[in-house]
Amino acid sequence: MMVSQKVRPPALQRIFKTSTDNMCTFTLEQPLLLRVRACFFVLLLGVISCVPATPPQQLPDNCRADAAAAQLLAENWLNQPGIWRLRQATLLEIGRKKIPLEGFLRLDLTQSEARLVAMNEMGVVLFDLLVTAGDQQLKRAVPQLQHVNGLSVGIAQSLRQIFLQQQPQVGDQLENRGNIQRFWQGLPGGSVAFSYDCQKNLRNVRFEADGGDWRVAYDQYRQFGASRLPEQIIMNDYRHGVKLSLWIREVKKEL
Amino acid sequence: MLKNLITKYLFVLFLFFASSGYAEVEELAPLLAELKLAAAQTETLTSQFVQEKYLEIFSEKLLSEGRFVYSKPDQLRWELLTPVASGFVLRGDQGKRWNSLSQKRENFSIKSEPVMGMIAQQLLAWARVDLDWLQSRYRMELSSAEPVTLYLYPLDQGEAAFIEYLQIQFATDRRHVAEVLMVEQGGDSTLIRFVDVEINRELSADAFEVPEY
Repeated sequence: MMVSQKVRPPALQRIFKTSTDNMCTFTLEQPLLLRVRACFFVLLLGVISCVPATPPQQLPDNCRADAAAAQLLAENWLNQPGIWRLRQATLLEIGRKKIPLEGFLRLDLTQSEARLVAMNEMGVVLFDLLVTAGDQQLKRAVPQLQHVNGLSVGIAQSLRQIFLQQQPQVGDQLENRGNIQRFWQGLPGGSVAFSYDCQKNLRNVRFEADGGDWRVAYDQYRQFGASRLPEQIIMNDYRHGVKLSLWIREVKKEL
Repeated sequence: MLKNLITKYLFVLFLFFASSGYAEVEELAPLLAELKLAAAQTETLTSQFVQEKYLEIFSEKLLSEGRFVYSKPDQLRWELLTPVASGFVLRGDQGKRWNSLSQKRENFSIKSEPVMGMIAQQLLAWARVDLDWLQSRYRMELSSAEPVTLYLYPLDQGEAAFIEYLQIQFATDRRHVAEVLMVEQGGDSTLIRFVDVEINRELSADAFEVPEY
């Protein structure tokens, strides 16, 4: 259990708080707002402030993880330049509330930017967000989300953690532990660790420092062209009590 | 001289558009009456559907598939089978929805959730060809008589800020809607094609049951 009372309201929670201000007008996404309003009240009451449980990762244990640092980094798809088009199903969990969404992400790893279009199951576009390493721009949103403070910031933060987090360098500290290899970087107030399995796939990033307390797990790798991509990604933000699960359904690479 | 010419030209233009508009109304009214009559014979309707979402900024088409069941007067099942199993059933103004990602089933009321209400009303209106409801919400234009294709422009300002127009195409026998195209302001669109449509087929007992998780 992580108690979040001492923590300043995080961006994602601010989204849900502010969305309650616009409940009186007609909305195409009223159910979403009603649900997130419910989430906010639950969080406000402090009844549930823990991140939903995530099952432990299953890592291959039939091989030794002893690749060279340069090879690990070169084979990580997030380190490879290129533009991906990813259709994904998303489940956002805050406490016990679960909000399913559909998304289409254009991920430009050359420019370090991502553009996410989120839709409901009827194909209605909820928002369109452009995220760069240091900024974000809400291109459009359904009227009731346009004035929600923190919408762009909260979602952009999650996308950065999952897709645009600065990857380790060849010179960083690398530990070999049986079937796992781990890059480790010291940060103010803690560290960030990048764990690779013995098949040279990045399996999780654990960030625990002044800037946050979160973990991203990358699972179910599959070959797409010359790259291997995870089909399931789970991000847990322990400090803010948010869990975001992505299932990548379709993958295309822009030529 | 020039002023006179312009006035005459404008007058001819006015007559042309006025007469074509009148002709359109003349043509539309009996067609709508015919569609209503055919729809009145529909007790149940089942179909598969393909949903194509076109995203303008990516020039990308996203496909989803599902099935649709309607039973007179107000029961619906809208179920997406791919890429994510989800959907809802509705009886009157009470419904239940589900999503395989959240593994949850939830009750809802269309009164408390206007979006579900709007979606359900649209689906009901298409299923039972509820032209009275559609005419109260949209300005209609006839695009083609074979197959019958209508353009619907929202009258509600809130809806118009989001939806540019709907294009509804009926089956060649005019007994049901075959395609619905929703064009959004900004260029995105959603096309729903109803295929393998069966009218007045006996429905299975679980036609309006929600999946167990």
